[in-house]
Amino acid sequence: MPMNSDRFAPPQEAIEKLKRMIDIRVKKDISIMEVCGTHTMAIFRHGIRDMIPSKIKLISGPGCPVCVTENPVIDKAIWLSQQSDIIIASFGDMLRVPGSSSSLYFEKANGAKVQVVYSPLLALELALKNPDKKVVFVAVGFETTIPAIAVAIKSAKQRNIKNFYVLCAHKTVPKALQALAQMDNKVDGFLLPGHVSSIIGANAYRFLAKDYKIPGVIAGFEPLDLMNAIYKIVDMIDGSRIEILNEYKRVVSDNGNTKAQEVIAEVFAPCDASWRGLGVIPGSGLMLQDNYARFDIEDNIRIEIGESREPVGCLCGQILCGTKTPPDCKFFGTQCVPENPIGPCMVSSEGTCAAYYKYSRFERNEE
Amino acid sequence: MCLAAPAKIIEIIDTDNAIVDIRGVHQKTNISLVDIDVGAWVLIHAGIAINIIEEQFADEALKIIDELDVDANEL
Amino acid sequence: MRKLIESLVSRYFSNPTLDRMNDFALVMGGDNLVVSTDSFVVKPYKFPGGDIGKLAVCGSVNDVACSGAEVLYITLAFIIEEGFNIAELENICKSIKEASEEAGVIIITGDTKVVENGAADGIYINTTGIGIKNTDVNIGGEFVKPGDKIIINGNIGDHAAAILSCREGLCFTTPTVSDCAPLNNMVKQLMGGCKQVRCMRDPTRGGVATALNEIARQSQVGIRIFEQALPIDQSVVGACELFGMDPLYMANEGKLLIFVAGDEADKAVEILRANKYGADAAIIGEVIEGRPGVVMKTSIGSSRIVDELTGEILPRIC
Repeated sequence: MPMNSDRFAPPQEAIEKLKRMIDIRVKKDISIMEVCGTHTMAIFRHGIRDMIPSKIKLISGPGCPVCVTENPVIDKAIWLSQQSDIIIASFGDMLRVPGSSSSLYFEKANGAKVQVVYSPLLALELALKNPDKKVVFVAVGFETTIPAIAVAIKSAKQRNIKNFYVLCAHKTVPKALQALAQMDNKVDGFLLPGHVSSIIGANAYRFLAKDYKIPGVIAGFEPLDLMNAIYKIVDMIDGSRIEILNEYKRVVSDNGNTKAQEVIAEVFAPCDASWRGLGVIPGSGLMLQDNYARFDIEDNIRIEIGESREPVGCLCGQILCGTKTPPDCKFFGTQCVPENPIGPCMVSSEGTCAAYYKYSRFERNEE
Repeated sequence: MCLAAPAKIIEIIDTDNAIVDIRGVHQKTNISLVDIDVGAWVLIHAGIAINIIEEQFADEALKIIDELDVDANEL
Repeated sequence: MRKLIESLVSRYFSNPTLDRMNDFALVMGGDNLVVSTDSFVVKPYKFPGGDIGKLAVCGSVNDVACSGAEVLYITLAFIIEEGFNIAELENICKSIKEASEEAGVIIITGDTKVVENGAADGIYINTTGIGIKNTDVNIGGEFVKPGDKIIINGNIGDHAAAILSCREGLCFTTPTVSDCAPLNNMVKQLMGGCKQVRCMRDPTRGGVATALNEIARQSQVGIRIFEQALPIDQSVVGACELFGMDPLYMANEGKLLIFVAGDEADKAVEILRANKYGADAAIIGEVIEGRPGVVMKTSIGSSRIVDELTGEILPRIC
């Protein structure tokens, strides 16, 4: 059953050819990090690891915005959900993420007003329908999602909607990539995000090749896209060429979507942000510009949360950097399972631990 | 990090909104970040069209295969 | 309200057993009685392709039918919120009547409770299906063996997609309607032509993936399914693309996973396709030796594990 527009679906022979060419070209052990949770899922879902030699290690990086969101954000969202005059609007992804002692899902089951929305624009509609409540949108996401939130906030201002707010927790990808490129055990190549790139453009990654000598390929999500990207990275490494290649030209241009970039810049300004596993990365977060500051819920209410606790022994942080894998974590598959997650990497459908648990914790039933 | 679906614009409601079709599923989508007409293909995410799918690269998959033939001959 | 409900019940469900107005029903049974009970709490209670009433009949009828039994009776219990719209309730009763007539089952006993406003999401229904099977019919998840083929009678994910389209916060329309249907007549036709049906299971909550995993565990076998063989409507594919869902985990209410001996598989498909609820029947996999569990051969020829559903399916953006 094809999962994307059939025009982009793979002919089998092309996949087979790429498989053979990768086998021939890869000469030594190499590590490729994918920094997009949707790539993590696509790789598992299509069984890509089955199609490439064991010399190639595919590592999942901090590409899941849910996973890199630290506990204080969840704890704040939970505190807000407990206030009687507040409705929390959230993407479904955030609902089951455990905070220090609860989750939005648990709070909802206990009567808190938490509404799953597919779009921040629907959160705006929720605010209009509930004029006596404050509707707070939990704004988590990378550059693919940030434009939607910027548009919603801009619309709220234009329409003078007074009861719509956001809890800001956005992060931007290039700074995180820079932090990863500066680490000691750097990877040999990057599989770069497809849809973040459609917003920020291929040029946003040139610094990786130029300053850090790491090649990268921007790729789509179909099996052919993934196999082609892996082949191109292997080919560059084998030929000692260091470049950033755009293999997803159907949606990614060199400069990205400038309209989207403009609306982001109008509504938001860069700030420092703390990433689970990577610590504080300067300039990697977004806060509201002064003329939109009234939409920040933290400017309007004093949120009182206790000290946020990360679960002791949980390896999510190191897993997100690619320095450990889920089986290295003592909780993986025992105390930490999707029904009862300890860390966010097990909750988010794109979390590395969730993907591992779902797709590969047993040996495969080989033919 | 970003699920986005290819969708076809089937009706323009106003400058900011359109109805899109994803294999028979219809949804209202914000189009303020793209310049398009009815019939265009866009990538939608969280209720908004984040980019146009370029017709000229729509056969990217086929180009990959063509390049493969060249590469395979060089190996 | 009670009097209104009682008049609806007697108007729609009158039959000699029910009309006796006892708190019990006398039925013939013996050693081969098959009983199955289920409670229905679907929200919204009305959806494209059906309502909670139709679902309540079909759910229990299908569960009993999966044993290979002839389904004869159902019980019917309502829990209704005070103030529930009587015209809506009448529509639900109509649906129950139509579904039970199509299935050929009699409603033999029941109950009604009215609870305070806000206590039952409007309406909950419990049904118990009762059937009789032949002694020599042994069908169940524990009888599956390597070499068996796995068939499904049509498209997956329709019911879940239809319900999703009613949920607030998603705002989409789809031509897909729920596949909710009574399948006992289709099963009867199948059993008439195939003597080696090992197991039948309706992939409801948790979808095909969860049901297959349950059976793999019961029989301690491996199961391999083929991605390209899974029948699925394009609009369900579209909804999955939009909300990041996997159709293997989406609920079905008019589908059965049928395990048959390998040499009867083609015949089984032929029989199913002759029935209106099996027109798109297809072989989707096989039972194999190996570690109990489910694997899928993907569209590109690779292999990956298909786990059962953990947690709830929530629409996502990542």
